[in-house]
Amino acid sequence: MAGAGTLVEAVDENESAARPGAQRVRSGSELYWRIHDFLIDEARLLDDGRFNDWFELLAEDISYTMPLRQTTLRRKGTGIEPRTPWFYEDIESMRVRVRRVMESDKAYSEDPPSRTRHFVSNIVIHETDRAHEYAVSSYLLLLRNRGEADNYELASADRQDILRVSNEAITLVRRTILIDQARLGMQNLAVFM
Amino acid sequence: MTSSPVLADGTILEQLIDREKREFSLRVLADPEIYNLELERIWAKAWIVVGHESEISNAGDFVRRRIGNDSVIVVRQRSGDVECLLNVCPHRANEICRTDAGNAPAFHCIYHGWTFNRDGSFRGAPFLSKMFPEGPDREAYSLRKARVEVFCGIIFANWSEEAPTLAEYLGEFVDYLRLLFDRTADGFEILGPPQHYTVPGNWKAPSEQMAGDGYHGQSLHGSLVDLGFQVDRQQSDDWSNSTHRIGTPQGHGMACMDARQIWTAAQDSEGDMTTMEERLRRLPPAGLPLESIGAVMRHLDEKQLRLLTETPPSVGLIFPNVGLIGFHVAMPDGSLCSSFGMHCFVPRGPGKFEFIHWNFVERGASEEFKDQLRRASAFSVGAAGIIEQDDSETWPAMTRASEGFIGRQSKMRYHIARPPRDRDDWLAGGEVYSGYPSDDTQWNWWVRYFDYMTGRAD
Repeated sequence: MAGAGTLVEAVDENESAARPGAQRVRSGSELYWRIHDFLIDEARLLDDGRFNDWFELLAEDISYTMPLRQTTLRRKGTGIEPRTPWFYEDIESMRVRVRRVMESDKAYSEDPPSRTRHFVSNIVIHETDRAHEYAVSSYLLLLRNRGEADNYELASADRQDILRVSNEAITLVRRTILIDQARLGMQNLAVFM
Repeated sequence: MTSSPVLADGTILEQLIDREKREFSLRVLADPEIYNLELERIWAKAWIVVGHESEISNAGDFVRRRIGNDSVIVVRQRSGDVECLLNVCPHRANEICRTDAGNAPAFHCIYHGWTFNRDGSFRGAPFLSKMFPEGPDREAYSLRKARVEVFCGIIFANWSEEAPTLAEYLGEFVDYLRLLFDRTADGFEILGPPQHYTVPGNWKAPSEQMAGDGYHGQSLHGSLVDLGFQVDRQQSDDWSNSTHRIGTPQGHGMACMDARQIWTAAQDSEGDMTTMEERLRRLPPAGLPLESIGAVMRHLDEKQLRLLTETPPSVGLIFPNVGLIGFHVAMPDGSLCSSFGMHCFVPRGPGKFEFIHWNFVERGASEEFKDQLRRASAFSVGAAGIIEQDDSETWPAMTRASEGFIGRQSKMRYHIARPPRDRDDWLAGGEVYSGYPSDDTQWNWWVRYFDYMTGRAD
């Protein structure tokens, strides 16, 4: 079930969105390419600043989270720390974030806007227990350039998504962003991942 | 002892501040020479927050933190005490602790294999008797230790043997710290390990802001008004008269807001009409669940309860760099939640600091309540918070301005002065400046900063 109760449960359950033994949707299939195109188009909307259109891709029951990463010893696991979120969003808070950027001229953290480039790759798709929902993992490389800076703020992440696929549309039901940095190299997280 | 440093170009540091006119030269913000003096005169002399006890509950639990530019290990002892150890091997200077947090029976340097007990004392090294037939110099080979004191679970460290006690350092500011952090017998705990993010600005920019800059809210956070999340109340006389800033001679600052303003935000006009306990029950203080109100009533005295229900602390700063937050947050669904936590602005060079943010919760809260707080905090404060993400737009710009030859001759100005209130007219300590706007407690932070830098502070 997508609606895990708390952040800790959501991340524990979803550090890998695919169930063990789940059937893989191989590249080359029509479904694979539909989902691939969805992620590519989504990145384009974000980078073009079309946040209202991007918002339409989110399911009403979306869970959009980004847990902390810590530096720990190998035997302690991945260092993903579900007790502290960077993002812990539902549809209503995402709506506010989008409205803030699109409707207020005082959302100074992103006005003037950053130039962002979301590079999405390494897309792997598995079936889930639900007929129309797919566990999709992808690598994200985000480049963010701002103001007079001659360089980029960089972030890379493993995104664990659940996508809901119908004949008409694909929507994002869940996104867990597993950031690689234990020290975020950005002055804020005023951009979507 | 007064000893104002003389900079390489002959400038006497004390000449960069005009204490009468309440302004100072922007050069102070990010001059590399002044930054290096800060390492000695502030970070090695003041009490510096390195964490909270609930991060290291069990013997051997540790976190890796920084005091100024120095890496330290903060570790729980078997006795329950906390030690703060310089994270530098006394043999050949390798970093001993290489993880953010964990539990260790002892600390082990990977370079040559020297080991140290949890209290920092030398434990052993390979070929020990062959290297030191007479026995090793255990004192020289132990990790350097800072003084440690704990207040309300917040761990402070200090490298200076001459520094005053933490109680003296905090002074009357404890009256306000207790209203945030000592509200029940059980106290508070962390909600999880802290966010760390890097801002290309000087650490003093956010620190002095949190010591009293309420004035920026109406402009920099104007998007919240546009979105209907905040009433445009800061323009009103009512708002002005109900804002109180408290400063202490130690450089600490706290903003206390008339609770009626919070009730207005909660759109509950009956707030005024009720008893203290009813008020607390209808709108519990930040980070505190409804179930704990009874514990608050039992733990606090009459004066404290009045402050908490009439003029609760909302935003403050412990000198030099610890931001405190305890305020209510309007959530997207119209409900009112809260953000309760702490920031540390840790220098990483003249033009860069690490923003560390912890979320707190009163102990004993349900998982559901903790989850609400996590959601409200991510929404409002820290890196992605719709309030604080705008703050990090100004600190780098101020820092860049101070790098220009002409720019650094500009002044930082704190001219809006209010008379302190009569001491009998307030329920707790410190100098109280009522009215908005006011630069008083922010200026107070800078006076304290210059006192440290010029050797006036002890």
